[in-house]
Amino acid sequence: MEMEACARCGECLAWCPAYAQDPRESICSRGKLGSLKRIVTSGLNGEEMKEFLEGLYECSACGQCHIVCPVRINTHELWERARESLVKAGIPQPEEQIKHLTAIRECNNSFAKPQTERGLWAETAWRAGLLKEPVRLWKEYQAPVLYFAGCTASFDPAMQTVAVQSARLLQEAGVDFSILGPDEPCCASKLRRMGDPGFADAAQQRADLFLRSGIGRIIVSCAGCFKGLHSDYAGILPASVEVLHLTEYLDRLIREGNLTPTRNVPMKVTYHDPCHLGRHNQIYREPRNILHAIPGLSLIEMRRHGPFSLCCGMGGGLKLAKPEIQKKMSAARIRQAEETGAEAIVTPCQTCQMGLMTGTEATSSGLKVYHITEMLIRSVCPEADRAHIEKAFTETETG
Amino acid sequence: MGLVLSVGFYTCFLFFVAGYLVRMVTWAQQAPPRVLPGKTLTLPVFLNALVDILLLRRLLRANDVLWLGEWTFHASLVILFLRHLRYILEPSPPFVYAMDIPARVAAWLLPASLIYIGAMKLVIEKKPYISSYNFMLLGLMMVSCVSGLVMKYSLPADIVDIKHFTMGLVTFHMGISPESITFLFHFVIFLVLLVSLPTHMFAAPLTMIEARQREDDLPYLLHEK
Repeated sequence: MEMEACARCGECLAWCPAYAQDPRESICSRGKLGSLKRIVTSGLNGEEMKEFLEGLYECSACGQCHIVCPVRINTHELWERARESLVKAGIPQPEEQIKHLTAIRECNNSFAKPQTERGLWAETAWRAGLLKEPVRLWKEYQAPVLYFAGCTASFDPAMQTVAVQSARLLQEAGVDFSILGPDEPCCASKLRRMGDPGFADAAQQRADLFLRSGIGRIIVSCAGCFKGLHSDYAGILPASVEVLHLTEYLDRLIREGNLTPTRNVPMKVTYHDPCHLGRHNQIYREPRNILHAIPGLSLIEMRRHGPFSLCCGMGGGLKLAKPEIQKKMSAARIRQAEETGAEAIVTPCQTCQMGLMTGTEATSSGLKVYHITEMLIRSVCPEADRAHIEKAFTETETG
Repeated sequence: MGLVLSVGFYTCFLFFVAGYLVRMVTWAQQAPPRVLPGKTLTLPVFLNALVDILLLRRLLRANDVLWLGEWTFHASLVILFLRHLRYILEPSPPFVYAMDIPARVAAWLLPASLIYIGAMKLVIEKKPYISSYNFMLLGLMMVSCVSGLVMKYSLPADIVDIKHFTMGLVTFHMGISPESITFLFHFVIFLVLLVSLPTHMFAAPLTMIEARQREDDLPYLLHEK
């Protein structure tokens, strides 16, 4: 029905961030819907199928086409279902995506690292004096709140700052929390993004783990994991398990007076809405509230923001399938950020942060890219800012 | 000529109806929308979706310049459709008479909105913004509008002959076709449009209802508010 509903108006084409970098009909939703319809009716020839597959995977599943679609076709879910159906029919994902998915299935993290290393960021941070107290493991202490760091903030040395700062901010606010550490699973949402048929089973296993462990509230700092646990697990994880994004929780803590940004952060910044947080989960207000609460910080919106925020290209496995397109997409976003005259672009997603950094490199931009926790840390406890954390972690590694 | 037009009409109409019957069956067999078990469409959700459909609310949000043209086009089309019911209903219901003045306005607004939409897409946006299929539809609609206006204001056809002919079609009493060339042209364009009508006319309202239902059933999913 969705294929028949397309009015071929071209609105998706006018807004698609991937089409903006590679203007071929097969890249935009209109083209993909047309091809899907033909697959069902008359079939595609070899060349047409190749082009369709290219379009299907040259997509960050950002959901912009769904937002602007006048007839509200659920496009991003349709692409995920199409990917899954093709895989089931023996037409696999691009090679780099397969490697990534294999790592998740086999190692329970997308970095193909031993799970025993997953919670090491917390130990290192505590030893380096970056935390107020050690972060306890869930198996030792079942706190009212579970902090879910996700694969990137747990394993990527460049992004462990996010996990450390998130934990420190929760401590500053007096939140009683623990982490799963080596027992923390990959959220498996990437399986769904890239059409892996094993997603439902993987999600059920994770949901069972949370329920078995008696977890009632999960705070997630990764936008992708949040989309996974909050949205993709709908109908799998009972609503009794509350899943909140870190920005929602921090905003609440600030409003309730448990966390007070006091120090001046005299900066002009612009805010990048991650697709998984904004368009997919409607979290637009909370991160902005946090930025507004920081003294001295001024926020300037980009031309495209909120539901119309331009994707940096890091979602949906696009970076793996077509890194050159991701680079162009993030460069386009950086140029929009530069138009505002801001000195930094702030985002609450470490994946977007990495993606945007690709853009600053590609455009040789002087614009700084920060995670939102960095801004808040500078106002609450600057001794745990990025520079301090990186220095401490480097010393720990070398020492 | 009457026989040819009548056969043409029945063929096109059968093609149109059969096409949609097949689609309806296919849609019904498809997997249901992603909703929680036990949830059904409620009146508030339906009314919300109805407003989406009637106002093209999503397009208004994404592209207000184009919305003006598209809404005018669709509203004019509905008015003219209702007014044209007088050719196949006897006696014509009061709402058809009430459409007289609105239809006179819509008859001009429809081609104007088509020109506006075409200009917006071709001039303001990039060339591939408009699909070749929509180009064809816009062209057919424009020809239909112009022939209708010519019939109304320049080369009037005998309305009694037309009604006699069209009533004959719907009552299966094939009669003589009106002699007006403009009418013949207008009618043939209508038949071409009938078989090439975009499928979104029927599927789009359903996806719009489904979207609202998804929002209501999975409020914590908050996909697309």
